[in-house]
Amino acid sequence: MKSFLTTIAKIVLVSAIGLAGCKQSMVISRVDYSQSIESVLKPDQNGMVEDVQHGLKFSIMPLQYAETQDTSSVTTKQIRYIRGAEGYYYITAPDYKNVYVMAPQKDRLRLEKKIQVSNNGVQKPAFNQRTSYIQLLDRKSGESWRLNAKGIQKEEKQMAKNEGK
Amino acid sequence: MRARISILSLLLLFISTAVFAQNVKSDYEIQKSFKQKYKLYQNKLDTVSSPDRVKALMDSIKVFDSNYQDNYELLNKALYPDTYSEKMDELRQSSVNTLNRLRTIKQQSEQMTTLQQKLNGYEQSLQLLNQHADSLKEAMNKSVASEKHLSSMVRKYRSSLEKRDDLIMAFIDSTVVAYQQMDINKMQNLENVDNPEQLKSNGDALKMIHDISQQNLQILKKNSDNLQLQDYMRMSKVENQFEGMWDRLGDKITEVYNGKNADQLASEITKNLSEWNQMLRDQTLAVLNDTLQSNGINLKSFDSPEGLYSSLNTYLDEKIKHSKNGGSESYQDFKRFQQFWNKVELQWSNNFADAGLLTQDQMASIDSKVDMWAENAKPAGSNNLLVYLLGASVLLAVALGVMLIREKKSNSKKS
Repeated sequence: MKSFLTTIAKIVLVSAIGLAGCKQSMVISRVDYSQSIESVLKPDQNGMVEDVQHGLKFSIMPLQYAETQDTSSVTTKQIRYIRGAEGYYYITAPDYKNVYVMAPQKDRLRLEKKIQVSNNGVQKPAFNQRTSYIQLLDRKSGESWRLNAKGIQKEEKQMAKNEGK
Repeated sequence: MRARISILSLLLLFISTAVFAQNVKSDYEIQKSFKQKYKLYQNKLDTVSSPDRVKALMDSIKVFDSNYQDNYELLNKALYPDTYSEKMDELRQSSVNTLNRLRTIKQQSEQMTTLQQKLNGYEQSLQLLNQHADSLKEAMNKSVASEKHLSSMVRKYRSSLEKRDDLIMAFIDSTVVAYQQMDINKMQNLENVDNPEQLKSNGDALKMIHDISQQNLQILKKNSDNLQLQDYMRMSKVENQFEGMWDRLGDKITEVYNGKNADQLASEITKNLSEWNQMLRDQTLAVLNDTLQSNGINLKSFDSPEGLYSSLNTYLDEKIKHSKNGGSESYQDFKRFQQFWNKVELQWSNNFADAGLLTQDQMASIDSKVDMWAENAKPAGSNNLLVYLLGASVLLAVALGVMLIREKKSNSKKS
């Protein structure tokens, strides 16, 4: 009986190791997804934007709803986005109060974080790719912020000016 | 006072904020404005019309380059797969090419102006000569009564036509040189962007070629009675050069012409040249017939180049056969023919070939027959000399015989 149990245990162990070996997938680490220059896109009448250069197409209506609670028509004239090194998409639009950090998934973008920038909205936003963060600029006021998936930090003006060059 | 200072401070703060805000540019805007300005420079280089403006653009491109040097890393990414330095090198090279192109155009434009001046000069001279020839022709018609006076007038008239032909040859040379050096594509570029009125003026070349071809046709039609073989030979040379020029440069000259009827003029020129060619050949053959007859060379009459060759062959074959049989008049005929043929060979061989009268091979064949005739055509004087020598020898022998007989007789008497 004991030897039977030992044999069964050995078979289970070998099978487990074998199955584990078969399911193991390859992983490439330290991937940099950063997009050098932001994309500026104009939504169509259905709220769809397409970035041919980077191969991305999505509807902005959920974002517009999150900002304005209105999806009766497309009120967003322009959408600006940039992809950070870790792979998240930072999306905003003129007069939006928030930056939406979206994680790409199979056939969808999932909201990773909603970062509030200003109560009144950023009138002329623009994203810049920087070494360790995403810079958000308001070209109207000259204000700037540092963004990552965790949050936002306002920049001193002179610093923003130097980095904006 | 305090309130004023506060307002002033606030104003200054507002201005400085506004100025600062205006300076803030995103990476997207930087690369976008670079691309826009770059495209603008490219367009300007494509449409700029003077070397001076290109130089100013080159200076501006240097400033443009220095303004964006700090962003070259960003621009390398934005311009991928090109790089910033590659794009700037391309722009600089393009400006150098444009400068060279415009310099060439400027030179060609100056050449065109010179050509136009020359054309005007030729046109005036041609008009004067035409007037002179017309007045001579009129005078000739009035002088029919006085043969001596008429012959002098005809001589002057022919000389006037010769000068006209020289002038046309000079015109052809100038036109050929000027148009061969010309790059029509570049000229069209200049026409698009610079002073088209300068180009308009050179259209006279086509008009002048048209007028010359028409006038030459008229001269041939009206003057068949007054021209001699050497006139036709000269005209044949002019016609050949003129036709060659038209074949090579006709399209170019037509393209440069700015008048509305360029194609019509061009087709008329081609038609005139063809008619001129045919008429010249026919009249040359007729005059050649007459010239040979008047020189005592009795060829069978001909009215085509094939007929001429056939007549020459028949004539030479007969003469060679006759001279082999020791015909008495053969040598004189040979001398007359040789005189004519030498002139054809030395002076007019190219004209004969160009006019399609005889090919070079046909002339070589005739030449060999003339040589054969020369071998057989012995001067009559040489035969007589032999006879005289023979007679003198016989007489000498008889005299010696008589002397010997006398000597013998006197010796026998003494003994």
